Amino acid sequence: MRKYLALAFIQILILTGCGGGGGGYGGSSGSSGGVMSACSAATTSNVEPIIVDQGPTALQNAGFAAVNEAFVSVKVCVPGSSSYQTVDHIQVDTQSSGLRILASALTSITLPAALDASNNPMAECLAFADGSSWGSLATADIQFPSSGESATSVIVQIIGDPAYEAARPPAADCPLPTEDTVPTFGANGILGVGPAVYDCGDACIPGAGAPLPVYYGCATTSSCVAENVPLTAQLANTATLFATDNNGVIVELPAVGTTGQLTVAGSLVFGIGTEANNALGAGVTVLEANTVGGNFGYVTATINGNGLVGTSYPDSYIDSGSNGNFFVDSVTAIPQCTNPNPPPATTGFYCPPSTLNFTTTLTGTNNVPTPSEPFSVANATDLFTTNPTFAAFSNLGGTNGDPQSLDLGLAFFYGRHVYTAVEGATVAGNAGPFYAF
Amino acid sequence: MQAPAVAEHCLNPQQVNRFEFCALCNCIQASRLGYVMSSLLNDMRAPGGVIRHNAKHPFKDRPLMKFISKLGSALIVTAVTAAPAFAALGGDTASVLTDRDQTQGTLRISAAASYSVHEITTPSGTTVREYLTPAGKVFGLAWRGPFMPNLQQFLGSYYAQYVQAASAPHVGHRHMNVEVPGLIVHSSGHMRAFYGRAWTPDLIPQNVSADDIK
Repeated sequence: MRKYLALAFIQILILTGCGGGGGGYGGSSGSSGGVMSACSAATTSNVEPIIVDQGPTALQNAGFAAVNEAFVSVKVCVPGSSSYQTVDHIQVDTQSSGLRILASALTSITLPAALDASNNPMAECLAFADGSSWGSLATADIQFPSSGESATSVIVQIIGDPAYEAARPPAADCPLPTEDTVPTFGANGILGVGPAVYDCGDACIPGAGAPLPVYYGCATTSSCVAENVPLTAQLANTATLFATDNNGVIVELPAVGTTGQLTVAGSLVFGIGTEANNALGAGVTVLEANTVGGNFGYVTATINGNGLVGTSYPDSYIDSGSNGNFFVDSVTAIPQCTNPNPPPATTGFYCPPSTLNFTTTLTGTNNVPTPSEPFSVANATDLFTTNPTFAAFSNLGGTNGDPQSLDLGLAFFYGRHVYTAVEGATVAGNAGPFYAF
Repeated sequence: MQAPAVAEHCLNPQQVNRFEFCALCNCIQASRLGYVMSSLLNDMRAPGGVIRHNAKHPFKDRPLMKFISKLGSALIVTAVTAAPAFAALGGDTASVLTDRDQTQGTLRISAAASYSVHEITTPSGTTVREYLTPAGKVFGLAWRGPFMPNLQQFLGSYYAQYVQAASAPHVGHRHMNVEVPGLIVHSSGHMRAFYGRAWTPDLIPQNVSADDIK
């Protein structure tokens, strides 16, 4: 029996491990001696392969399968040691910031804890719209195995770190349901390369007021207290930590037909306008995005089709971490799928009796509209049951809690090169954060 | 300690004489009390939170009502500052919750028209609107902002039901649609931008649509 989750899974490839484990979570951070970590190989390109598949064996063995999730592998190295592990099925997410790895996927190395100003190990609660992930923070050197793009002393979240699960904050601060395991999180980890540089930013720095329930200092593994931390201690968009090619990413995926596809191979290109292969080419429209908190990353979409005539969606965004195109048709309601339990689980997806065709025009704060872009919404249950082993569908749609939002997820990425530039970046006169395609 | 809310006194005959102005309160429609609170609280700016209230009613612009409203202000200030609190979905005047995110006052509204709206901006910058029936029951919520609100507080007794439904396999981290008997929760958003709505169909007043909760 196969269950469909919107997420992905993890599989860990343990490549080697010459030096044994590094420091424990309660230990001190930083490198020991002058040993170069295993993540110091030369950079050979700015292109990392993406695979869209049903996720790692571990996920599938749990009875689930990923749909429309873009995965990369990340080499995670213990600083100052030759120990490392390559973790695959890390989901590429262009609407979050920072690298987060499920503890159960980091089985062969132990990373040193990231310490706060009081030398206490840190932890974080990452809240989603549907729950939260809790875990300790650690320091790692990282490298992308194909391109060689790398960064040192990166703060990563170890989601579901068993040593700190007892210290998980109450639901009032760190919302339920918990997403601290591979089956509930849906991937071995997540690579946040979105429009924000930091995951919390100024709202969490010293002087910002009472600490929000985001960053925590843990005097013991069972006692963590919310605290403000400087930007340098926060999780950052991983691409911004590179020496070059650090102002954004491009997700490039080939087109997928109306019945879907078993797997899709594509590319994650680092940098925008920094190399010959990542320029904002002719025919690319730039959508500068809203930077106001609460509306961060929003552009305006106008939708036509199925009763919608130029309907405006001012809370719209483009997001590789969403697996469908999510919006509400307020004129002619699209039937939602009615099979809540796997297999397949299609709760939240649309199941129209026949495929619906739409077009959308996006406009950023720079007021340059895109051409009219088509997208379709097919019956998700039919898609999944007709080809139960397929992982990629271009016509997957679902409902959106915000009736003014069109969330263009990975379904929209097929057949396009989608640029996501970080805030503060400027590329050919275009101010980040912006999207472009 | 929690001080009873003003409108509650006005609507409860046994408590009418507790405050000097309660006879007056009892004379005016509670919806106008809402307007009093609105104009008063709009000017309150305590650290970490702002609360606004808007009542949908037909008389709020009448000068006499404004005059009566101002008469009640002093006593309302007392009640509000003594009881920083808020009510949860489905809650009534007995359901007053405290939360450290909610550092500003309380309102108990009984509107003559279809519903009233309380709006709180939390310290995180997220705005939560609560929709109350004329009888003072919270029938809907809507939120927008850079961080998720404390749904355990705002969903109140519905929270366990929400969590159970939200734990079922669904489409990903960005969108959560819970639709179970008596409770609908639509939550969506990404890092730094969240939006959601929740309501109890059983409590929505006549002539009010779920689309009004936003």
